[in-house]
Amino acid sequence: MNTIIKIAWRNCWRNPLRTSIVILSIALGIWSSIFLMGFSTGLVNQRVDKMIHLEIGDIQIHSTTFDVDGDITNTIENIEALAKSLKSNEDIHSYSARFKTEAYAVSPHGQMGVKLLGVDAIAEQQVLNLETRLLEGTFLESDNTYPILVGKKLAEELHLRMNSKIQLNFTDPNTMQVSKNFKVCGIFSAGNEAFDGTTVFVPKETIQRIIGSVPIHEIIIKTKNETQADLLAANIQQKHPENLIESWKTRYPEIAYGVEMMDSTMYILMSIIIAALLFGIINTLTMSILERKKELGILMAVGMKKWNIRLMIVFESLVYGIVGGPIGILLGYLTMQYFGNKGFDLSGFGEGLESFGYDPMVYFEIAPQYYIIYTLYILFATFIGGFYPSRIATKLNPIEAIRSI
Amino acid sequence: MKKVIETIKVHKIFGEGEIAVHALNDVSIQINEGEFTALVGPSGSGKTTLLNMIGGLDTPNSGNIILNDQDIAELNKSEMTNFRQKNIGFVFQAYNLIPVLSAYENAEFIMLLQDIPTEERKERVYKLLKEVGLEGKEDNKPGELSGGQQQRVAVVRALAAKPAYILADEPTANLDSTSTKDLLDLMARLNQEENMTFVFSTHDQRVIDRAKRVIYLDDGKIVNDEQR
Repeated sequence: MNTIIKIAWRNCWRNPLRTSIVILSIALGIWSSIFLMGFSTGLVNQRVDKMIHLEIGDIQIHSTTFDVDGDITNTIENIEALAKSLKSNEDIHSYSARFKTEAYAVSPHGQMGVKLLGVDAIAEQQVLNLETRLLEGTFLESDNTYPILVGKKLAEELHLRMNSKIQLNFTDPNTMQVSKNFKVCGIFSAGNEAFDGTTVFVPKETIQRIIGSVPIHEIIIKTKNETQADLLAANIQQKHPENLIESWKTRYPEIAYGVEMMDSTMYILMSIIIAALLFGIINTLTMSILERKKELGILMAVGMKKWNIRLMIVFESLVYGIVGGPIGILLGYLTMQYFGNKGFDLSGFGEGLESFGYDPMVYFEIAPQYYIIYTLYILFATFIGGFYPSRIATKLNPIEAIRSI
Repeated sequence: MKKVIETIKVHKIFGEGEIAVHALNDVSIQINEGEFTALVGPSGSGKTTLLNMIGGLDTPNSGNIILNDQDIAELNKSEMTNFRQKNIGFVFQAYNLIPVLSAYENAEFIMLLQDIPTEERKERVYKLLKEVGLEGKEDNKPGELSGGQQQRVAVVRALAAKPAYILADEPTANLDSTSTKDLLDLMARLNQEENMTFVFSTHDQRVIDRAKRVIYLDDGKIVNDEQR
């Protein structure tokens, strides 16, 4: 066996240029797969992370009819019992109860439909990290009686600056139109134009002052363990069937589906790259075999068994993977480390990305198990890649092979 | 004296119909242990075909080939490969060493296939390489050896595995006169001292002159069998 491995290894290096090209192509193939995987995972995870930590939390609670019609009267049922239950739940890090209604924002420069969120600033900041994305001002901390926090996109559209006045118009629970002027106390950028352009935050007290009460339409929850959000949502739902309790995956299935699809897409991409490498290996080995037909004929003539010849060719193929694979994985790992820490700057496409909720600075991520999967994939591919050429080799007629030039 | 090679009424036809060529026609020979035999004849006379037959590399259309008491018609391909490995040593015209292996590794190659223990391999190969004057060249690759030296490595490769007989196809065709003489001296010595059986196919008069038996072939038939 050692001799077969030795011959296979040396055979590979008889044509160093050709072998180097094959090894380099394997390394580049793996590196590019890891690069794409890291980039896509980083991009999607950042999107999900941003959405959970800046916009929606891990779990959301609404009345069962809230999504059917967004009427201001669709408030959460049994709010006191629910709040007590959430407070005592050890799996919950924090929660924030929100007033939420559609409103019309008017400035001297224009008007836009917005989602008006009446929040407790402290509770909100415990669940979300939006205060970290403030471009100017504070998160509803103001001496002003009617402070408002607006997104960057909305500020641009309505030409708002700090202390600009903005009028909000909405319907109260008695179906009366109310209208109030607010003063901009802060401008945030969550990096998602849809959110930044249509969301405004005001303190709950201002809602109390305007309509005399604070109906609660939405509770957002931050869990202690994000991965358990589905389970926790189901547990709360069981205890409070009168409301609709959904994890972010259930509430925004298109995002969850996107995460799942990315994994599948990456496997497909990886398979395509590996298939291309496979054909390269088969082609190289077949050429190599046809070049040394005579030598293979001699090996057969002196008594080398067919399976030994097959093994030798498969080992030659494996050499490409054993050398090229780790180089590609090492290059990929170093790339991950670099762009994982420094980020990959796509600010040239920044606006386009932000309109879909993606950050222009992408921090690469890859699950460690993918390095193992790639290693196994490439070993499998190179192993398979040796089969067809080895079949050609063993089909040679020793006499004809020996006579060949 | 033990009979190591026997062909009985062997026919070999290449091609079919009008283009069929009778490469061997009713060839019957016996070669005993310790013989030093040359198969001689013009190009196309059938000597290489006969050598391939008694090397188990080709099969006849009719007739029997019995090698070391084994009718090779009874062996399947795998068994034939095994048989060749254990019983037949080959020396080729173009040396045909494995270019990626050193002289030592080439010489021990067949023994490796036979699973002979390392120490025994080492002992035999070093001894034979020394005998053929290649001491100190053990680590040289074929490309670093002259034609004569490569052919001597090929002989050592064939001999080291202790085959029943050695078949040499035009072994001196690519050698100069000094290398040819050295090689023939080596083979003659091994034949005398070890009683090793050699069968050559050759055009080379220098080989024919040293042979103890010369079998002349023409048009696939034996036209003369001369014992000296």
